[in-house]
Amino acid sequence: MEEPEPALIRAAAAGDQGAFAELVRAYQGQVWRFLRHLLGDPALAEDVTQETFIRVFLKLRTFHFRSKFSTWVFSVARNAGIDAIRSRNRRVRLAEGLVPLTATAGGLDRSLELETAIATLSPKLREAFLLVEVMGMRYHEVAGVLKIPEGTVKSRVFHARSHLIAWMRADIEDADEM
Amino acid sequence: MRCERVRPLISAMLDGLPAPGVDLHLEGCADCRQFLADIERLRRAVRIESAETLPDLAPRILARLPRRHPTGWLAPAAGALVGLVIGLLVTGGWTGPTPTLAATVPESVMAGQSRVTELFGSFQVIERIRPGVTRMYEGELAFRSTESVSLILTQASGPPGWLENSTMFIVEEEEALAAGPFPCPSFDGCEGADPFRRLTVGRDPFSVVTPAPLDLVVPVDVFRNSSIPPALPARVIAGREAIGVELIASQTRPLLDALFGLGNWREIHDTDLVHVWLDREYLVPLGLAVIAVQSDDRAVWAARRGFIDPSSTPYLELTYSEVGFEGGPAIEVQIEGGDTVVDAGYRPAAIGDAPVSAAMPIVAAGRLEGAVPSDVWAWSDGRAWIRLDRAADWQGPGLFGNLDGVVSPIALPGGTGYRAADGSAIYIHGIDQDLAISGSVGYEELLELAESLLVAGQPVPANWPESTAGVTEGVDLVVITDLSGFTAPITKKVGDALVIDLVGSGSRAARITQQPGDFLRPPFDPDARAVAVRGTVGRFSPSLGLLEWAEAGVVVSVASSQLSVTELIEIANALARP
Repeated sequence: MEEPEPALIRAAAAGDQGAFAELVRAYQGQVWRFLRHLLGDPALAEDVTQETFIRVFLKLRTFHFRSKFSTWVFSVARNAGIDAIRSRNRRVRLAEGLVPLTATAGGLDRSLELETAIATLSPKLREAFLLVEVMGMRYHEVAGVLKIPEGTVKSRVFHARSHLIAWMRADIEDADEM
Repeated sequence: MRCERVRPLISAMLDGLPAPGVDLHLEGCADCRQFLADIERLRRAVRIESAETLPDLAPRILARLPRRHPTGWLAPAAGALVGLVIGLLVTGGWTGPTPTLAATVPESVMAGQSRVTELFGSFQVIERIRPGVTRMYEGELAFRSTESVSLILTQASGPPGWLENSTMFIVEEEEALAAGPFPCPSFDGCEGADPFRRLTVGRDPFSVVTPAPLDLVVPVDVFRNSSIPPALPARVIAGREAIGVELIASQTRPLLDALFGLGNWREIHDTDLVHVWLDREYLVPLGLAVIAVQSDDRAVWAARRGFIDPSSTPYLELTYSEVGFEGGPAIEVQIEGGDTVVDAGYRPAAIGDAPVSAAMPIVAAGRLEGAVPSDVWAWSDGRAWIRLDRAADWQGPGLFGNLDGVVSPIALPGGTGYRAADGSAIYIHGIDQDLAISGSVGYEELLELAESLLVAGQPVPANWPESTAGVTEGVDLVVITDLSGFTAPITKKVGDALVIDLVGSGSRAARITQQPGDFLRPPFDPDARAVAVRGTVGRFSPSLGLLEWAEAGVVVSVASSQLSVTELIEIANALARP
């Protein structure tokens, strides 16, 4: 993943909105895709993407170039995403009977199918898988974002893949039976 | 190896980790080959599916950012989520300032000037004389390094009966063409205001007589010595991200003159505000708005010229609609039969034993004929340039090449040199030659060239105005406060007066004069009025830009045609006794 110029980050940290807009544009697509898969809801992902960048803006002065900027942004995105899941779960518990997004049925639409499959992953597997597959991150970078050992990343990604393959195969078999 | 142990390795291998022994296992295991094919298919599916686009969230995010104070880290709770005015991000319209920093603009402009090697674009200009009386223009700019520039402004609309104000200025190699009407304050006709076309041949590189409008490319002269300007909200202009800063008209003169120096334009008051939006990447000015700052002095100035300039609307605006940085049109000087032709006297020569400039490639060498013939060398890279002039037979009475600038002596390896107060030139008065080094680059780069020349620089004769002989005695008041936006004060003694010069960016400058005396003489300016300064009553003469007062046996004046009375009083208050 391409890293922004340190000068751009410093300018944004100093309050330069143009510089900050440039950072937003560099990462909004990936952050949104990550959150969309993590949350299983494009509209909510858009809101949380905005929330992510507002947090990034507020914390920018605490970024000291000790990690890669992209890694740092995704840890902020991930925390914002986890917060959103928690608050959604609370709302779901409050409004019993509301169909959780994760239960969306698979269909002929390939992307919806995949979306649904990813939504059936546990959050821990899901976020590791998404950081690798959607963000194109290296295991050690994912380890930095999630604050877990690299070996754990490796095994979570493997389990996520196995689960998804099994899910998709089952789906194909279902379709064959029809 | 068993499949259960191999599959995590296959997964990791897909992510670029080493997986010893896996290849061998795959050769003999159809199930694991299928697993690899499946996870590869999964990756493709996720990535294709993820390639869909998202609308740009930046404007919405910026709108939700908490406001910050320029120096601090914010934010009173009430203001924390105040939406900024960002309509202009979408519309490109003008709006008032909001507090952000553009702290690096001056240094970025100085450092980034070699980045632009080509530029072309079209823009619109709106000129408002008073409400309802407006002229509109279509503009085209093309630039190619080293010094080819074409600026064409065509009037598109305006009040009936007014002289057409379309202008053209093209520089290409040793030729320059300037065409347009002469200034005519009444706008609808003046004696001898017919449009002219003047062709200059034998134009010297980076000429001061027919300067190419290079500040339209990167506004180096505006930002040289500039303090950090207040920031404006970012804009998107011509599809480019533009950062905005707020300047004062006197500081922005090099840019304004590049645009409006030729033709019959309305005047701009030196104390007005100029908002400039620069391309974030190339620092090219893509947007400009000149806004009136109301004051009594300005009201008199405007009334005399028939201008009505509400502060709510810029009275001059420029906005690019298209801009490109490579592959622009050819630039050529189109000569017509009736052109007035002027020979500036420059004759290119072979680049032979040119001095070496560490910084940039040499682009020109030649000889400038005239009353005092001189040799000329020029180096350039992008918009950046350095020029060296050498005269063998210079008699004074002043530094060669220094038209009216304020200088201070500096030490060079060979002897003494003189530094222009704004850092844009170095002069050396040698034993048998006089040198002038000028350029758009920073002072350090000029100094590097000056030092490499190893010329035995002499102090100038005592009767030249640059001489510092006799200064230091009798200093009454000295500037001690660091005046932001000005270079170090330069002090000299002229007769019984002590003169302190202050030089800022653009054309901002002020001269402080102190003479023995107990009271002010009668004013020259009929509009002179009393002002409070340094705890006493002084006098301000608007037409002269002159602030005067008497203090402890000394009559002090601070004079500047570019600064407002408020700024003059600020300078006065910064004076202190040693």
